[in-house]
Amino acid sequence: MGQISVRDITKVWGAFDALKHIDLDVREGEFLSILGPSGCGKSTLLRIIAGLEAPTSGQIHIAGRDVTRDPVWKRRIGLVFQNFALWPHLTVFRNVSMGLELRRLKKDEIRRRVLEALRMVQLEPLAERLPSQLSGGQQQRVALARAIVLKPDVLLLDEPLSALDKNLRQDMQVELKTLQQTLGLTTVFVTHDQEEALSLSDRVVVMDRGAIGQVDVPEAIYNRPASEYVARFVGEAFLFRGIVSGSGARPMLRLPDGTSVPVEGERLQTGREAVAFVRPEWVELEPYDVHSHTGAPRGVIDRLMFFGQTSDYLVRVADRQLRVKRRPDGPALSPGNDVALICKARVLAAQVDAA
Amino acid sequence: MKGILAAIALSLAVTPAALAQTKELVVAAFGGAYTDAIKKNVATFEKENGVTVTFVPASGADGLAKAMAREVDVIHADMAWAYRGEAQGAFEKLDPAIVTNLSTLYPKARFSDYGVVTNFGQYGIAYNPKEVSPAPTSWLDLWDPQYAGAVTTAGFDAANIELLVLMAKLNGGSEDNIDPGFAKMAELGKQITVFYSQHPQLLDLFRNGEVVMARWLRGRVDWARKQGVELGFAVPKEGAIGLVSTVHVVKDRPNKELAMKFVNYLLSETSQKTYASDLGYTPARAGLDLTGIDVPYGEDVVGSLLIADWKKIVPQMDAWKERWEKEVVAR
Amino acid sequence: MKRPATILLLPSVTILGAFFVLPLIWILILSFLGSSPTGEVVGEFTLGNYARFLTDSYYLTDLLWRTIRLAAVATLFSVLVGYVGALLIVRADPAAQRWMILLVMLPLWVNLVVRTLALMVVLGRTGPLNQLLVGLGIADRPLQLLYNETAVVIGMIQVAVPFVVMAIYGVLQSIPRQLEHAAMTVGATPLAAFRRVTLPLSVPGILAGSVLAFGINIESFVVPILLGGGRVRFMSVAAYETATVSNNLPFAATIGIILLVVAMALLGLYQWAVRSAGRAAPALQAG
Repeated sequence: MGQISVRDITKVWGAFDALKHIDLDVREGEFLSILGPSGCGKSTLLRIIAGLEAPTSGQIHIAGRDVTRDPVWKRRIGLVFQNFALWPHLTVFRNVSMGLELRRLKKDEIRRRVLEALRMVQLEPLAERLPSQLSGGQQQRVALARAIVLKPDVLLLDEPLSALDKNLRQDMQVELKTLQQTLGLTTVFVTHDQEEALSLSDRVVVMDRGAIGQVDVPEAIYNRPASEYVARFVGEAFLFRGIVSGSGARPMLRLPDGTSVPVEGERLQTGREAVAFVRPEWVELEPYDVHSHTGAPRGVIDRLMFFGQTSDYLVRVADRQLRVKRRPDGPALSPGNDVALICKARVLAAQVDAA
Repeated sequence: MKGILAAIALSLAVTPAALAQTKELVVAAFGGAYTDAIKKNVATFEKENGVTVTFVPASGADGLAKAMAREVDVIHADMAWAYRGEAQGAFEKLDPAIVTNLSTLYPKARFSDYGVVTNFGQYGIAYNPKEVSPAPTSWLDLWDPQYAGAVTTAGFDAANIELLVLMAKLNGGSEDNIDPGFAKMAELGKQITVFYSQHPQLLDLFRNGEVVMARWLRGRVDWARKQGVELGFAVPKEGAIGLVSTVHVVKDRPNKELAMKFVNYLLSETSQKTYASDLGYTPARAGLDLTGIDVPYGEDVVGSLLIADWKKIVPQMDAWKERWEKEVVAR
Repeated sequence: MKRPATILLLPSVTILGAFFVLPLIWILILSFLGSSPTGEVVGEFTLGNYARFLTDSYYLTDLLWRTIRLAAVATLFSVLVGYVGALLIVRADPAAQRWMILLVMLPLWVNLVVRTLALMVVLGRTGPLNQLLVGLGIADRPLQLLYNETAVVIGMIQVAVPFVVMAIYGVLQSIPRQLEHAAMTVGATPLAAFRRVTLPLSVPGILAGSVLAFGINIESFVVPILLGGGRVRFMSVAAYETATVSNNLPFAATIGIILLVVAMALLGLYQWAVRSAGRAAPALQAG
């Protein structure tokens, strides 16, 4: 049993199943992200863990205690809201100190702990400001200080960075991670930003319409997604559907247009239908050559997209578009060029049900 | 050129006649049933005089203000406002040559040269016959300690001023020496739980048994009986208190003569009978045949009404009102 | 930019000026004039009216102080009742909210006299309230609920509450529920969260509501006449009767001006007190 343990949680709103039998353990000190598009139930799950929402059925344990029936204020959690939810009538100091005041701590201890928390988020000099006098990033830090000052059993973050602009968000990601590691706080981080989830987390939960799609370390989520949904939602994926062919040493996926793609994967069975995917950086492009590229999938360069550090080719393959990372050592290609796709696709563990 | 002049002359000649067709007389009256009763036969008057009579609901301060602003031709008033209006020069002297009906009135109805009383109401004692026995015979029965807390009267209105003066007179005072009156009224004030301000309110007080005896208007007691509240009405031996409605012609208005004619119309036999039949008020005109109408009538009735000398009262009203609040209403 | 704005303001300024400011100036002038025995205004400057009012304990205590006292008590209850009402509405689901607001506004569509008469039925000796009290054994026999100060206060509360509810509702609605949730996450019970977050944040609503309620209550006219049983004297009623019964317009104007000045002074004082209390609170506790 982890620091947080979610057991068979369901949440039903009328005819809508917001959460379907969720089981999840968050380990002590772990940074766990819950990733998914809006409406997938990730915030609902977080609110149920926090106690702001009651589950229709199931149990929540935090730090070994069954808190399912406990109201929010008894759960010893720290929660950072998407829009910070700072109290506009109170100074930064008092925003952070309220939890300590409610615990009736001594005045000097409150002061010491508040200043310590503010120091951790580098806001000590702004203690007497009102939230309206702070920038978005500073407000975010106050919200964070307010959550950690109580030394909660778990820290829950509900898309805390989505209200910030991109540069600030990246800075805050680093800060947040550092803080979490320093304090060793068990953290649940809800986000719809897959990069954020991958870069910050020890593990990532990908949610799909009220159910858990996959729980794993970021590397596995990216490279070995459990389903087409996960593959598509985390990172960019170009999918191939076909029938496994070739011998055990060099398995291939024969596509409907007659071309074949080399694939890898576990338990590949010749003759079975399968779905494989490639990431933009897995693919190599070569000017199409009838002799050497017979049987390989081909496409036409649509355009080159320049991002500064990197650039991507957009390649039209039949009626679909594939994004390919340009390699510094690769050939120079122009729109209209016929290209062959040189890659090894990864077969998804789950077979396509629809096939 | 000649033709044009002729046309102008013709139009000038026609205009006054055309105006006569659309002449308007504005009459301020008490509103509600009172105006309805006056209106009842006004069509005849309008036809005979080629005039449209417009009624505006205004009386008291509002009525006098309209008269002073020369916005109305005729106003209705009570004794206090009649004297104030006269003092402020708001009214025209009534011309007996036009208001020929003046000669048919009881002497008490001749308010002054500047106005005339059109009818009289009677304030007496309304009582619950089940609770009050024997029936009251005197205004002083309101003071009877056995009904303390269950008697009522209104605030500082005309009828209470009459009662106040009556009490002064019964105790050696007068309009000029009101102290004895206030002393007596203060005693009554102590026995009153609620001073009523509306007739429906008093009806409710009687119905709930909170009040068993009250100074009330005869017409209202009839009305209360129709609402299913069994009430007796006693005319005290000192006399009923007169509720007086006066009418006046406003000064410096264009249709002075028509206004006088309207006053004369109000004093006509038809109008006077309507006051009795529709409002339950005693007509000011003598010699009417009121068979079938249950309204006290006649020289004796009018003559016995308690009507004080308001010319003396009006200048003291401000002070008396204050004393009333301090000595009668205050506990 | 500035010119069109000025032009747009013109109609309201004209209306305010013609129907509010000018009459008010006339009333002010009138209050310094005398009155003849038969009611004519005497065009001579005098302080007599003010002297008459300010040197007489009847006017000061029985009239002015009573008016202030009852209006203040009614305002206190109006704000309490109105706050609870507004909170209930804000916390109801959005579909129900619209109906609840409609319900609160409904009385405002009914004439004040009619509403007050209805209240008289409710408070009457044989009315539903007394029947309930007797039926539940709380009272042995019907209580005298009408025609006293309590009845007037109840009447004023009835008049003011819809306005208070709307004033406070508007402010409460603008306070995100999340702010209370945030307090709960740091250990505040719902009551503590309300007291520390929602209540202080709704002070502007309370302020607006109580100013509105006091302004309405202190100028009550119909309510004290109908529910006061002739004994609960009120400034506005006194001003009216001084004009219409005593026929002393200048003194009536004086009563009106004193009411206005006192009401404005009290409201100013009140706002200042609340504001400075609001400023002092966080400063005190942060130190």
